[in-house]
Amino acid sequence: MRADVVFIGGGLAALMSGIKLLKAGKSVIIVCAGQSALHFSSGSLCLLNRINGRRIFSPLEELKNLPVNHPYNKIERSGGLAPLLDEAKEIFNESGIELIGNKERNHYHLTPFGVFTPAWLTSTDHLVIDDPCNPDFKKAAIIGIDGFLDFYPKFIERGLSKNGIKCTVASVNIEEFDRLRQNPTEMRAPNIARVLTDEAVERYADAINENINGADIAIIPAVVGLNDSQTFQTLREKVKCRLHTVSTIPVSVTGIRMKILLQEYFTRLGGWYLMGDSVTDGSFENGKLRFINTANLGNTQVRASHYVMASGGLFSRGLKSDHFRIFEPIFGLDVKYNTERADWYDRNFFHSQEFMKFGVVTDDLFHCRLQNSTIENLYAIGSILGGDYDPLSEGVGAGVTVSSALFVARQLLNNNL
Amino acid sequence: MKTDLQVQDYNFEQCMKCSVCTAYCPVTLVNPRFPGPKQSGPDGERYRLKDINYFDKTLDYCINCKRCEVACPSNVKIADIIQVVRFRHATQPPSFRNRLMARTDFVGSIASSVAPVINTALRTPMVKKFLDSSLKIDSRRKLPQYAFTTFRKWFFRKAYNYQKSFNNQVAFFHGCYVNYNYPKLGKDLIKILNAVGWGVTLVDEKCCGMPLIMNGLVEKASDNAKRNLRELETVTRQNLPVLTTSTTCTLTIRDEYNHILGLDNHDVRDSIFLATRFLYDLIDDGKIKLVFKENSGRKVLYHTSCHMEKLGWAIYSSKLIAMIPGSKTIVIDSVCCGLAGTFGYKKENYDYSQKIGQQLFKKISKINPDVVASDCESCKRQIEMSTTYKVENPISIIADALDVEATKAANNL
Repeated sequence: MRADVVFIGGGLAALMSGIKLLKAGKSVIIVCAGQSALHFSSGSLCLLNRINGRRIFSPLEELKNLPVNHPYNKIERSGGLAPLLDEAKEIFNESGIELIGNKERNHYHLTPFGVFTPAWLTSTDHLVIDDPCNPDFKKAAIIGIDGFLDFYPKFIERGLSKNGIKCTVASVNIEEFDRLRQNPTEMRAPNIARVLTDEAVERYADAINENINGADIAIIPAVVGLNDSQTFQTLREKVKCRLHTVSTIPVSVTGIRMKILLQEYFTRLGGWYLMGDSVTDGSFENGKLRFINTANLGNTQVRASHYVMASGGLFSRGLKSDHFRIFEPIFGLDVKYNTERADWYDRNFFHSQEFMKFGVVTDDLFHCRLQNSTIENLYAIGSILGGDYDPLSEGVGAGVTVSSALFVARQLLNNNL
Repeated sequence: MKTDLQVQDYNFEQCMKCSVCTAYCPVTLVNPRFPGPKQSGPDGERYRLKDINYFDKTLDYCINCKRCEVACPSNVKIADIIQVVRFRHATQPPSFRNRLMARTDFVGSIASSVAPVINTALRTPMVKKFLDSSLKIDSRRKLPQYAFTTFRKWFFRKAYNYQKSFNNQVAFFHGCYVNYNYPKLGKDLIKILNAVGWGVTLVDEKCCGMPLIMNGLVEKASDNAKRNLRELETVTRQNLPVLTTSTTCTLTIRDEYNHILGLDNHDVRDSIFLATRFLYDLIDDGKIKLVFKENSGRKVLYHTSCHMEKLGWAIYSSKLIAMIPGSKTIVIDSVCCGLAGTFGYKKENYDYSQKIGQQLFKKISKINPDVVASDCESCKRQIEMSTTYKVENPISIIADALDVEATKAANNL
């Protein structure tokens, strides 16, 4: 089995990079062990929100204030970050994922805690504003769903009230939700989204309309449109005021929609997405990865000119830990981490956590290393990357994922594979 | 049989309650009475380990499609837990209907012997109505048709001696469908293999056991499995690869014998391949060549059955079809057809079955292919009954397009 490029891992990084390669006529295989972290998406992608606690408004102007080996600066040094960000937006758009925002200036999106947080791109159904001190609405109707425990209108009410917004809180029901409620534990966002089709959307719109009470906007949980953006558009047209969603507790409907649309686009372009398969081992020779084996394909060797690790961080098991070390479980690639275990974390949950910075060691062009030697045809992209960045406290997770993904694809194409 | 279920074998404690499995479950989409894979599997197991009264019959709604396991980010064997628990705690013996439907080989051998009569009967509204009211086999369902001459009978009468003349040999585990319902598929495989210089021998086989497992006849499933494993061990000891044309038989022998029935199958597991995979690998390694007739290319939609998705081998079948010059192969994202073996035949499940399939039927008609390709006989039955499209196994598509003489020449035969 052969392809130009094989991706190990199938989340946002692999899909973005794979799509770019397919568009350039390359053949691509993605090996994906279980659904990805996109299923836990907030609905927003961040580029750069904070440096040492300082809030950032114009991410691209702040690159010089980031460490020299920050992934953004590696990318900036070899061909530039900005064009890749534009390209990412284009790929989302071509996939049918509707996002708003731009790389020049962060906007703000409303979190489930009622707080406005900066972001680069946000799904168009979510509530987004330019200036959190100056919202473009005065009165909001926050409308939950009876028995749905993954959405907390009161949190949002409390947050918005601090910004001087008047809120009403209501809870609605339609008969389709009754059906779901037979299994209270399964009253979850994607299950609600799956029953919200055709007539159910109309009934849901009616129920929302009854609870607007003169508000400028209605806020509902993000439970609409698992497979496309159209369902939400239909609902939005039927609701008699501005309608927005706010993320629920995962599983995230917005995230699943992004994953489905990206994967459909990837497959439509002729890519191979091996779902539920995992890479078991690989054969290295003269500083190159020659082939890999997977659990499902068994003895069939999967060969490629280039391989890309996109298997995710600790959350996605692209990295694993035991009491003494952090390691990359497939090939045992070199991982940068603090050997003093006590320093892995800060007791204050809200502080920057050291372990967020752990990840595989790469050079300026994102080549991986095995026992201190560079593997010339193996790259790392996305949250498996280690180095001088903290995706969470800096708010750079999605930006690093998307830009490293497109950077490696660009590099492969420039070198003609 | 695995009587002492070890929960750690199923990665049960790795479940982080994320519910991704439920988001991809075809049954929860249509049947509110099914609590979903997370609740029925690892979540429910926490309770059942403490008190068996938490077991309930809603687990029977699971169709064992394995989509939960494919989706699970934490590698929890969700569907395995559900099946094992289902028969570990079954309170009643399976009904007469379920016992009948589970015995695909027994029913097949009787039906085949009187095929002309039974085929007409199974198309007659009055008979269907009777089966509906007496056995609760839904009258809206198109019932299977049987071959008067079974595949085995044909093989030993017409093919056996010639097959022995080849130096390269494979064993073919044909399954109940090829033997009793559609011998053409088996003949198609032999046609392709012979053209590239391989002869075929048959395995002395019993039904793989999946219908038995799904209908609660676990003892009988274990008997069949043990017998099959014994035969397959004999075959693989002679270094013969074992080929199949059914994704469900393949998955059952490779995975379910061990995961659900607790039998040791490690000697044979890696010698069993779908024929499409076997052919693809030989072509990929440059060992054989296929030559196709001119103008045999068609617009083919490849539908990945649930068990194919679990096997992860759709890439072989669809890449093989794509080798036919002038063909356009479109692979769609895998969704369940809804039939799930015997599930969709049962009156209580018919509506769920058709509702599950809607998504697939819509996708197919949107693409409007010349033919749908699928490695699963249940999908073929369901799609052909519910749409206007014809469904063929990739092996039949290859066989129909194959230029036998040119292929033989290309392989120096």
